[in-house]
Amino acid sequence: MDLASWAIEAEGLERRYGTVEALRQVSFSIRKGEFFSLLGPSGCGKTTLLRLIAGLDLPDAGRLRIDGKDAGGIPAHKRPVNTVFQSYALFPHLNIRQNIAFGLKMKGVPSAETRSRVDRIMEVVAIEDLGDRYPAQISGGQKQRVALARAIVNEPQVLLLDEPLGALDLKLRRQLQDELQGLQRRLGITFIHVTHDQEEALVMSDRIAVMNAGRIEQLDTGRQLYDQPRTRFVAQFLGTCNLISGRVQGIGNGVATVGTELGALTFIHLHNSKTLSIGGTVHLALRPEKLHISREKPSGCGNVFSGVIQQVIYGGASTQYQLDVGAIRLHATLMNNGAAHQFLHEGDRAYCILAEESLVLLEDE
Amino acid sequence: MSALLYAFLYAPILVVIVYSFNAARFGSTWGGFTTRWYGVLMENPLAWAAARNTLILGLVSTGIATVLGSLLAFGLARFRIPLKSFTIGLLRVPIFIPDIVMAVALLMFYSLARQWFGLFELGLPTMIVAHVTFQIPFVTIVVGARLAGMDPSLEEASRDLGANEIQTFLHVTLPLIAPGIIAASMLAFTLSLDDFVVSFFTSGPGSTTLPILIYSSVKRGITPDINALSTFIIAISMAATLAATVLQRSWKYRSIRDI
Repeated sequence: MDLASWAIEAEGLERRYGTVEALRQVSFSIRKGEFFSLLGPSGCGKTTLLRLIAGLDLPDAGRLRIDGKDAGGIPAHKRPVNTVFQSYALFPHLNIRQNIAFGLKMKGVPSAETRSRVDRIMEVVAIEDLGDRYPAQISGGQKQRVALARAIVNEPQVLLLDEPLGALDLKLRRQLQDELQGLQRRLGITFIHVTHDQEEALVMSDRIAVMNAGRIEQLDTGRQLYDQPRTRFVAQFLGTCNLISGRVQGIGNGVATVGTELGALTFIHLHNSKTLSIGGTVHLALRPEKLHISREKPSGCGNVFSGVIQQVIYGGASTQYQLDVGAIRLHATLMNNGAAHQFLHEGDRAYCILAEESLVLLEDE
Repeated sequence: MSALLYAFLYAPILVVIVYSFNAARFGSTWGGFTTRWYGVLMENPLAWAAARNTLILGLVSTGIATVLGSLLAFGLARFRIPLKSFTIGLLRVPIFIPDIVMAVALLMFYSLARQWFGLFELGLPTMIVAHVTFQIPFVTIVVGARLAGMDPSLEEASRDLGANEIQTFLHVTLPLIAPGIIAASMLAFTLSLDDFVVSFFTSGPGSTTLPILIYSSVKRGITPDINALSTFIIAISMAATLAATVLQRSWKYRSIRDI
């Protein structure tokens, strides 16, 4: 891909606060027009990264390019970047129109043009009748829209969103998620969205960077992150996951065998994944919905183990099972589509099948 | 209990106000109601000169102290300063140093400066400088509290939206701390208005203020026109305080014209 199609390129960004390393060697690139999410638990460095892009904080080391230009010496007010702050940060002394017009005023845009751009953007985010109110007189959801309008009216190349939906209730959040996504498609602006909500990130983003302790653990599409997590952290942060550890016993043609507490497990091992050595420790991940349970012992497939159902949680569309195989507790989620597992109860013996193509080899040592 | 406490606080002031309308010239006997003493006061050129001096001293020193004290508060809050907490602590020293010590120190400073550089002839200018020195800490503390209570993301949002540092200060910081600045200047003005000790030590010929005038008159016995003068000062102070309160409530501090 040529240089002009990257909105953001980061190379080896580092940021320390005293002895705390907020960012450690962070490198990534974001395409123009992409909806990109930074996902991670609080304190993982995602907000720090956002502030570096906005220019509100400076890196201790590393390079940052915005739209192909080195951003090192560019102060916040000259960057083609606008932010929707977590607390909205609306100016309490200005009414809604004045809040939205602030950026254009500061740049000296003529007042007639300012007026029409403000009108248009208020229409886009559906707050036409709030113009004369003050921030203290509107609701949380409305504040969110004003903060969004105040940022995008400047037509930035990149819009930074710092957990913009964090303070809203679930229903409003779902609605605004849809709206944000629609808006991003229409405007074609690159969105960088910080969140700790994995579902929100999966639903909205083209690509997601999962962050942990100041590093990017994995950067991929939501589907890749979910289906092919590379580390234990990613596997567990996105959804739930069964983690099984063991030692390599045999490496064959496209498959490998691991001795685990369950017994011997075989899994698909491709050449492009982590290289294995006999006796080395490996970690495997298996999503609960890919674990099969049946009362009868299935024939003709490997990785079958017998266990005892410990807990059955009925959830309408699906049922969650907890099954103990020896000392290992496995989680399974099965669709309630009339299959035989629906008649399993706590204390029943059952067989579980860990399909070899569903086991994901993690890179952790 | 609280009624008693309030009585204790306000009874002396009430006495002064009531006696300013007492027709009897001497003593504490009531001689009937009169507004005569206010008339006497109006015709007293010394009182007029003192009132003029007091007003000039109060307004000029308050103006200077408000600007300097607010800038100091902003600097202390926003910039990296070596030994920051020590510097801030140092600000409080003029507040708890007794007035009399402060006054003597200023007097010594002025006489030394006069001796070495021929500057600081005692008079209204030296009094203004003296008042500014004790007003600044109060202004800085009041404005600093307002700055500390401000959401830092507001200034960041301003920079993010394309405002440089000066624009951010003028359009965001200043309007938001304006109520604090007004409160601080009212406090500073009141401090100047009722200061006697520092004014007394740093005044020169012809720079008599109302408190000094009252002091020198009282040495010759309390007269009804002094009560009238005191009542007058009380009225001005109350009006100033009331104005500040009303102003702060209705203040819609807009930095950008409506569009």
